[in-house]
Amino acid sequence: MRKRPGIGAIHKQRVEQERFRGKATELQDNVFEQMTNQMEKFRTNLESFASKHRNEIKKNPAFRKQFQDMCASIGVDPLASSKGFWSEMLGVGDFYYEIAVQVIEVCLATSPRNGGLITLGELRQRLVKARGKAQHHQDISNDDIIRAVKKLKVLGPGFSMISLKSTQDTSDILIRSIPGELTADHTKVLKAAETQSFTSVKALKLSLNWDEFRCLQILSELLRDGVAWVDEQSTEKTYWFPSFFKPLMFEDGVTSTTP
Amino acid sequence: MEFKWPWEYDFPPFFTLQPNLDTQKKQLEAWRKLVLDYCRHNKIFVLDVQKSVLFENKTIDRKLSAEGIDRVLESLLEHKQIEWCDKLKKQCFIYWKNPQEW
Repeated sequence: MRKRPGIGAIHKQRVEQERFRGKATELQDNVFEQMTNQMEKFRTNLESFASKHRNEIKKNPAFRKQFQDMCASIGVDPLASSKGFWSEMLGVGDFYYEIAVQVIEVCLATSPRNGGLITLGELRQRLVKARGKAQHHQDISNDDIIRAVKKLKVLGPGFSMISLKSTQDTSDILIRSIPGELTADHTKVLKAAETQSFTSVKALKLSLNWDEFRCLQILSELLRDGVAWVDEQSTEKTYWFPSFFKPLMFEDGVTSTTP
Repeated sequence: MEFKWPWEYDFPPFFTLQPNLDTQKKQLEAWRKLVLDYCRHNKIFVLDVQKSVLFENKTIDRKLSAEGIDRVLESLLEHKQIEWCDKLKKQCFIYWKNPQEW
């Protein structure tokens, strides 16, 4: 039979436990203190970084992208809030929020003609035009716009991005500014129409291997949404997409936010 | 100064009356603006509907159908921007400014 622990042993155990606990909190405090110290150090580092490179971040799109990528890799979103000290120090928050507002304005102004579908290339041209002549207003990259649009998603459904080609050129990405269904079939039709800015039932049947009914169905849905216009004066009925129609981009006015 | 055609004028489906009513509304709006701008630019006061080059774009080989032209003129009439000269509706006065503006 085992000897049962006496009162002395129980007492000893309790004292030991007490000691362990004490040590644990001490260790925790240590770690916490270290962390606070590190954060403090980080902040001062960032401050000096900011004072050195603030203008660089505002002016240079490539630098901006590098900075953002670095933040992403350590799991920080400098745009999450304008109260975050990244955006307070570097002004990146305001920069992107400003772009986001301008993106909304341009999309609203152009949606009557393109049904709320605009290529990133055109969007950028219009933004640059609307932002005034100063150099740092002009230097916005496709990447900046994509970031701003991604932030707009927090406002609920409305803005989405569709990439039609798998090329590196982000100018071909479509920005959609009105909510609604855009199925895989719709996307395929858009893709098929993109280079020429129009398509037809015959062309779709050939390139996508669909039956006539499916082609007509999708095309009529795109007509209904105001994304496509029909043309009855060529050899067959063609469906045109103002979003892809190039002369549009060089047209003046309308979107200018400055009076 | 050369008249600057709007982008729609080079957009082939602009010359086909659109089946989608929302789109058609925008289309007619654009046509109204085009007719007025064109007449203002060329100082046209009386528009000869049949003879005008306005409704045809030879470069892209498209022209607005008779029905389409009717709709555009109807819509101009509704907005009090034209008035018929005769009962046959071949010619119309065009008001690129309304009487108040004159």
